[in-house]
Amino acid sequence: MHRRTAVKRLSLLAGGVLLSLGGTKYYQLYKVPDLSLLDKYRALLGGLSDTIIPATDSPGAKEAGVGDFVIKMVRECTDRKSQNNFIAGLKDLAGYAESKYGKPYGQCTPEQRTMILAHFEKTGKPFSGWMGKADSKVEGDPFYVTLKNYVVLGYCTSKPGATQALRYDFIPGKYTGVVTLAPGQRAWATE
Amino acid sequence: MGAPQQDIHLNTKAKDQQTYDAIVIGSGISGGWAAKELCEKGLSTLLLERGRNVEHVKDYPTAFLNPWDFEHRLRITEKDKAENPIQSLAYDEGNKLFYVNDREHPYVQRHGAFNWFRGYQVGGRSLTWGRMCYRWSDLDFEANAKEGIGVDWPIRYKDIEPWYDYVEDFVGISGQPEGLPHLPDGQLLPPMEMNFLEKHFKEQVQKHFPGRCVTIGRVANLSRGWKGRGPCQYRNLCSRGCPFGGYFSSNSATLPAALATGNLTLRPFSIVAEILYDKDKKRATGVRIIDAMTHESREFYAKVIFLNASTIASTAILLQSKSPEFPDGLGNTNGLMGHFLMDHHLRVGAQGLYKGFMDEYYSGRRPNSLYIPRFRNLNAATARTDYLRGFAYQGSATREGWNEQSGMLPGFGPDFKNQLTAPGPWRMWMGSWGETLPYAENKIALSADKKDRWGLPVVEIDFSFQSNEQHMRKDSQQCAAEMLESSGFTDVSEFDYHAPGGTAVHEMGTMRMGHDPRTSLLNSQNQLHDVRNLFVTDGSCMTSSACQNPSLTYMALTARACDFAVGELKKGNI
Repeated sequence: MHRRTAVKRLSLLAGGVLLSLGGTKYYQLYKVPDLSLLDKYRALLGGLSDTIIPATDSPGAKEAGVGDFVIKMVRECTDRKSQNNFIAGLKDLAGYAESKYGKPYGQCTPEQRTMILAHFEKTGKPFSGWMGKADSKVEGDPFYVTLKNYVVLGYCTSKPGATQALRYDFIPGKYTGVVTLAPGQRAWATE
Repeated sequence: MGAPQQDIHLNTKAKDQQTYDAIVIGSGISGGWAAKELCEKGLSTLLLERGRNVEHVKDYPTAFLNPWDFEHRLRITEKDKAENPIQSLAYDEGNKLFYVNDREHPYVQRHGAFNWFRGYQVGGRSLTWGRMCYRWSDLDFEANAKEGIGVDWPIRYKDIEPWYDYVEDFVGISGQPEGLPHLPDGQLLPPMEMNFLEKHFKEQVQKHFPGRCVTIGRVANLSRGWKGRGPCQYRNLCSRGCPFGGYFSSNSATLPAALATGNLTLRPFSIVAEILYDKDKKRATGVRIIDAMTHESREFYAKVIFLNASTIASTAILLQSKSPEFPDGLGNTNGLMGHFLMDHHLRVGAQGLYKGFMDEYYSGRRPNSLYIPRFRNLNAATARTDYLRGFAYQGSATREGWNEQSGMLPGFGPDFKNQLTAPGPWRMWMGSWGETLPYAENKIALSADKKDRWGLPVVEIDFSFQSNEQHMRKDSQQCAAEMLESSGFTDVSEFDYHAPGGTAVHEMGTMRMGHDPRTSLLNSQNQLHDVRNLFVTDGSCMTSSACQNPSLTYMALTARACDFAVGELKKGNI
C-alpha cells in the first residue's frame, strides 16, 4: 500500500475513532487546560529534564534552565489537546513515583528516576513515525513525546547546550565543504 | 512593529514637494531597481512604500541574536498560528518582523487555497527572499508561441540579455558557469563549495544520468566583497536582514544607490489608492495615496509612473483606479487584468539516507543549496508526452543534527545525550520548483463588499494547479528518487505535500506582456498598452512562469524599462 493511501485511510479511520471517543475522553482532550498546574510541577520538570539530558562533561538540562523553558513552550506553543495530555502525564508520573517508591520524583535516586522515565517512555508512544503522526492529529501529542521534544529543543538552543555540548559558531565567516571530522567532535549547534 | 514614523522624507530638500519627474510604487526588489535607475538617470523620484521604513543594518534588531535570545527559540506560538494563519507558515521568531499581520491585511481565498505571503515595509520581500538567481532563455520565451499556450512573449532572450548582464553586475551573484544553453551563464562571482556527499552525488548523477547537471545554486549572496557590500559571513540568517550586506536587498543595495544621487524621496506609510488619469492627454498624471497612519488622502504628480507593488497588489491598484474611460480599472479595456495568475509548484521530491562518509563534515552555514537545472522537454530526446515544460531541483546534503535526530533516537540519559550531540548520519533531500501554465481561471479580483481598514477593497484570489502540473509532479518525484537511489542512498522516500499556490512566493502574471492590446495588458517595454507613461515591471508582467526563480528577470526587465522610459521622456513621447 502506498504511504499516502495508507495515511488517507488511517485519517478516515481516525475520524471515526474521534466520533466514537467516549464523552469523558473527548472532554479530557478538549477542555480548557489548567495551565497554572504547570507551576506546581516546576521542580519536577527540572528533575525530569536532567534525567533526559544529565550533566556529563558538559552541563545538564537543569543547569541550562530547561524545566522553565518546557513550561513556557507548553503554555504558548502547544495545542490544547497536547497541553491536556501533558498535564495529565505529569500528574500520572508524580503519582507513579509515589506509588512505586513511596516518595516524590525529586527524592528518588537516579536509578529510580531512570526506571520511572523508562516506564513512561515505554507507555508514551515515543516514536513519531507516520502512525504516530496520524494519532497525534486526533489525540494530540502524548506527554512523553512533548516532554522529550521540548527538553531537547530547550537544551540544544540554550547557551550551555549550544556552546558546550554542541559547537556554536556565531559568525563562521566562510564555508568549507569538506572537513575531516576530529575524534569526538561535536555537531554544529545551528544549521 | 517599529515606532510610528509619519511623513518621512529622507531627502529633506524635497520636503512637501507634490510634483516629481517619476513616481515608483513599491520598494521591493523591482521597485528598488526602478528607483535606482530613474534617480541615476537624473529624474527626481518619489518612492512610495505602504509599510514602515526599514533602514539597512539599523533596523535589523534580530540579526545578531543567538538562539537562546529568543523566547521560544525561534518557534512560532499558538497565538501566531491563530492570528497569522498564512504568514506564520513562512516566518519564525527571528524574521516575523518582516511579514504582515494577516488580520490587518486580509484577503479572500475564493476557489482553491492560495498563500499570499507579504512584507509591507521598505525593502518589501527583498529582505526575506530566497536569493536564487537564474536567467531565462529562449526555451522559456518561445514556449507559449510554439505550444499555442496563452500569448507569445513580446521579447526574446537577446532583448533581455544585456539587462541580465547589467543587473547581475550590480547585484553580485555567486555561482558556477555550466555552459547550458537553456540556463545561460551570467556575470557570476566565485561559486560556493559543495560538501563531500554533494560532490559524490554530482559525480554519480553525471555517470548515471548524462544530461542532468548538478551545480551549486546561483545565489545573490556575495562570495567576495562587492561594491562596498559583503562578503557573506555564512551565518545563514539572511531573512533577518544582513548587517554585513552579505546578500542583495533593496535596503542594502538599490536604495542606498538611489539615495546617493540626491534625487530620491522615500515616503513610507503611503498606501496607493489609485492612479490618477487625464483622459485628454491619455496619460497617468499621478497617484492618490492614503497615509497609513493618519488615513488622510494626498496626491502626488509625475511625468512617469512605475508600478512595482508586487504581482497581486499592483494589479489591485489598477483595478481600483476606475474612471469613466476605464470603468473596470485603468488599462483594463480587454477585461483580462487580474487573470493568468501563476506560481511555481513545489514541495515535491525525495529524500534519502547515506550510510558512510562518517568521517566527513563541513564548517560554516552555507545559505545556498544545490541546483539541478531543467532537463525535461528541452528537445526531441527529452520530450515528454504527459506534460509540457519542466522543473528544476534545489536540494542539499547535510549530516543530521540534534533537531533531526531528536525524534528518532530512543532513550534518554548520558548515552542519548552523547548521540544527540554528535553529527548524525548523512541525509539529502531534493525538491522541485516547476513551471505552472497560465490559466484564465487563476485570477485575482476586488471584493464587491469587503474593505480593509483604509476603506480599500480586499483582494479575492482563485487559484488551482491543473493536470499539467500534477503530471509534472509525478515525474519530478520519481526522478528525484531514482537519482538518490542510483547514487547509493538508502531509505529513499518520495514526498508530495501538495502545497497550495503562493507557497513558492513566486506570484506571476495578472497583467501579462504581449504584442496585442486585445489579449495582453503590457507591451514589450512593460508599458501599459492604454497608458504609455505607466510601466509595470514586477511579477505581474509575466506571460509565462518558466521554472527559474523569477526575481532576476524582474530586475532585468525593470532596468530595461527604465532605460526606455527615460529615452521616451527625452524624446517627448511620454
